[in-house]
Amino acid sequence: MACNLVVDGIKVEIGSCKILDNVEITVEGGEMLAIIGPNGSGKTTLLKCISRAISPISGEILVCGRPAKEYNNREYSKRVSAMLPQWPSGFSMKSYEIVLMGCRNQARGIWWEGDGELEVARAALGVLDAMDLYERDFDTLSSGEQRKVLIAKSLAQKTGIILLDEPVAYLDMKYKLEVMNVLRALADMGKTVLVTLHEIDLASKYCENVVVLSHGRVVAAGKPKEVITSELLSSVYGVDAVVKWDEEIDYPIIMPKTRRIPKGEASCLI
Amino acid sequence: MNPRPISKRLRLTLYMAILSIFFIGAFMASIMIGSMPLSPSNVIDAIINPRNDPVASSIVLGYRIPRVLFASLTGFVLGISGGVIQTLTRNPLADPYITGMSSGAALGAAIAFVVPFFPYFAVPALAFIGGLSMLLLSIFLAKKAGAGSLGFILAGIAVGTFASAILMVVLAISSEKAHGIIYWLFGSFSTSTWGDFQVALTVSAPVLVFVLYKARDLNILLLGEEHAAQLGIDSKRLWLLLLLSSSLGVSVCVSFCGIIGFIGLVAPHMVRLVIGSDNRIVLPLAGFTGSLLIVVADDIVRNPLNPIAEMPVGSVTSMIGVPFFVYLLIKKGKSFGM
Amino acid sequence: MNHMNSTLNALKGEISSLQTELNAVRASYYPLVVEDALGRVVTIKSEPTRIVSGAPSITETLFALGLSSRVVGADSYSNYPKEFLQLKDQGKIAIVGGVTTLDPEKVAAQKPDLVLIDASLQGKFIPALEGLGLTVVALDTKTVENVKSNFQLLAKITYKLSEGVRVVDQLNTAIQNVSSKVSSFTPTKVLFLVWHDPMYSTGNGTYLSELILISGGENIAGDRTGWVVVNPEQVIAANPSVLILSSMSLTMDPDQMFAYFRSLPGFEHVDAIRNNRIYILTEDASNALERAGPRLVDGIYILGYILHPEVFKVQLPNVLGANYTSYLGR
Repeated sequence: MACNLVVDGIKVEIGSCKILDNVEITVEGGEMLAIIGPNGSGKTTLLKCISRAISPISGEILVCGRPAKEYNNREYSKRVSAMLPQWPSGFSMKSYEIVLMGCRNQARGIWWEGDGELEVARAALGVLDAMDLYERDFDTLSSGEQRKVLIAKSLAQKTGIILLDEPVAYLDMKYKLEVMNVLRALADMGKTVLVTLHEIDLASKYCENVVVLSHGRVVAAGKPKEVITSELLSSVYGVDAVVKWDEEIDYPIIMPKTRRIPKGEASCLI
Repeated sequence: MNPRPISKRLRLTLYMAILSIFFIGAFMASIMIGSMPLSPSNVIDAIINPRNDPVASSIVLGYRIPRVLFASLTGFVLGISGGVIQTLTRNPLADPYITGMSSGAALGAAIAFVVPFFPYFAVPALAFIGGLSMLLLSIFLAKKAGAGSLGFILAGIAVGTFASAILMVVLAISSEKAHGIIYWLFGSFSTSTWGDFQVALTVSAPVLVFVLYKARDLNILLLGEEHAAQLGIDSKRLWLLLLLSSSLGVSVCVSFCGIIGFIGLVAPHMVRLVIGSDNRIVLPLAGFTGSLLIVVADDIVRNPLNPIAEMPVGSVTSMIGVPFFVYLLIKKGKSFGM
Repeated sequence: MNHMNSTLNALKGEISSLQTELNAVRASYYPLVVEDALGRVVTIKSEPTRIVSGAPSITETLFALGLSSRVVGADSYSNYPKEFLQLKDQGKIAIVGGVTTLDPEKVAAQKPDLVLIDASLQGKFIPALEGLGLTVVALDTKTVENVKSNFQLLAKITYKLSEGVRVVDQLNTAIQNVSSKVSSFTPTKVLFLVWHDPMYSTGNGTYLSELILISGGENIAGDRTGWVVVNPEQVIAANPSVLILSSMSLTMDPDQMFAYFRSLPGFEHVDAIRNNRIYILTEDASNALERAGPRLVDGIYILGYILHPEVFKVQLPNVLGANYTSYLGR
């Protein structure tokens, strides 16, 4: 069921360090929003707030019009799914077992998975072209493959809002595009998709809107064409670059002016 | 695509069936062994016609059967609790005593032995109280520290070490009773009775049922409290409930027979090496494995051919369990990747 | 003549009626209800004829009461008197386990009608033994009074009343003999060890410390309770005149043990070492002191001779073992 997501003025602090400062975001059903920004800008923390792993000090998060705090775990898991970094557990589980965990919130049998759940799990892996990972031990997969399994787990939850933290990191070009295609398709079906990305070009191509975070604050929000400019790249990322929008393929081309390291500076490393 | 999970169900049923048959066989064999030489027909006769030979039937019905039953229940509880605690703490090296419970139980038993006020039957009661109070103390400390499962392990170590320290003082000042305390620490089923079994069963049965019922959610807890919560489980509450219930089961058994180690640590791993980490299968099989280990060990201890009177059961379980575990490790070690 | 006959007949009649009365008393003696050392109320249904003993002191007491023919099982540490060893070799007495490692099944296999155990060491076996349907009586062995009341209780249970009186009397006489003779002399300071490393001694509250008192000794560890560890400094400060080591089996031979004590730093100043009043009691001599049974009689004399040779005019050798009885004039 489609749902909108409102993040209203949330603050997160650790000690005196402001991780998130007065962040406001609105995402509608059927929309895919990309959150971009340099390392340490608070992207992951923002997702953690929305997935309720962290509580903000102040501010509110509204899911389907109700404050996130008011839901119990089970209800919330039917509305919001999150793909967040995974710690190795030391116990070998098969990939399909992990994907099946995503179906827990639909479980009718408490113990064994019903056929419906197995179908959902297979579909989730299938749509990501990851069926070959079905029987593999999760711990033996590469980072990219692990990511796919975790995305499948989120998809299996069948929620209206999907949060993904760096979903295409470590994936090669073909899979990057495949995953983004799947996410776009989900958004088109009416789901609300929120992704954090380092790949600015992918964000621009696939998402209707983009939010830029820097030092915990929203410094820009809006359509990619308007937001992604050389001034932004310079002030936020500290990168000197040229941004050109290719009208034909509707895709941004970002050409950073790289600095060549003069011979003298690195000579001690030889 | 792959109808895998269905054959998983079949595999599980098959394993359980085989293990149960094994187990019943071992159980029956155990009743045949003992210091008083009784032939198998004598034993069966003693059960069916108790009046024929009252001595034999009192030995078989009043001593051997309760002892073997209680031993197998203890092994079952230890195997399952070991698997639960390893999953809850996400630590393959954990065992049911990691909460400091064993030191607490030992301290309780020691106090019962030493303080003249307590009668001889107070030992299990005080051991139980000691074990549970150390457990609750660990949980309380861990909550205060707020550091999750690693914090809990550390709190358990701290509490356990503290209890051990006090135990050492008690042992030092009570030298003539020390022998009795140390013997309790080794673990032994030589004093087991029907009463012990009934009490232990009454407390452990509901606890075991609960734990097995929640096995699927336990799997999900493997991902961590955070992730499990996002998947819809009341993870904090479930974590605590599972910890308390499995510790309760262990506590009640151990307070009667003393601290029997190794089984809670190794039985779940033996099963995982063969079957994987799905707790729905691992837990019951670990229970049966634990039972088998303990019953076989106790048979060795009770065997009249054994020249050493009443070897400590705990050392026998280690002696037979370790080679088997090493064999499994060598055979399957590569898939035991972390 | 007739007068004598009728008197005889009257006497015979009286004797036979007395006999009948005695038989009636004996028959109505059982079932007997007693309370054991743990406060348990136990019913002895009939005269016990198959008795199992769980500890050496109990075995020795049973034999002292003349019950040797009725003992069918004993612990592995029991080894006295000689009659016991003979009966064991003949297979008439079975071994039912160690003291803390009693085997309930072996006990039940002897089909006993009475099982006697040590209350503090074997109390844990009571539920299992009762579960086997056995009659269990627990005895305490903490004080000399305990020892005497154990004699009386066992005599009562087995209807060996006169033997019980005799055994208690023997103990009382020994106590009286020794303590009266030493009472006018200063108590000898003594360090009584049951182990040499660490040095384990008895504080007050054990029957050994009572025996030390009775025999005219002053226990230098007597200010503490129970079994205690003494460190060399405490020994040097207290400066005992006599050092006794009592251990059933030694880890080194006696000469090495003497050398060990002499080598402890500062011990050359201790009176006991300087005057060579170190005594090692082992095997039977040690058992006489450490088993809370009829041989305490011997133990009291041994202690008396060691602590007050001036009174008893007996010089005991520094090492006493299995042959100690020859020194007691028996």
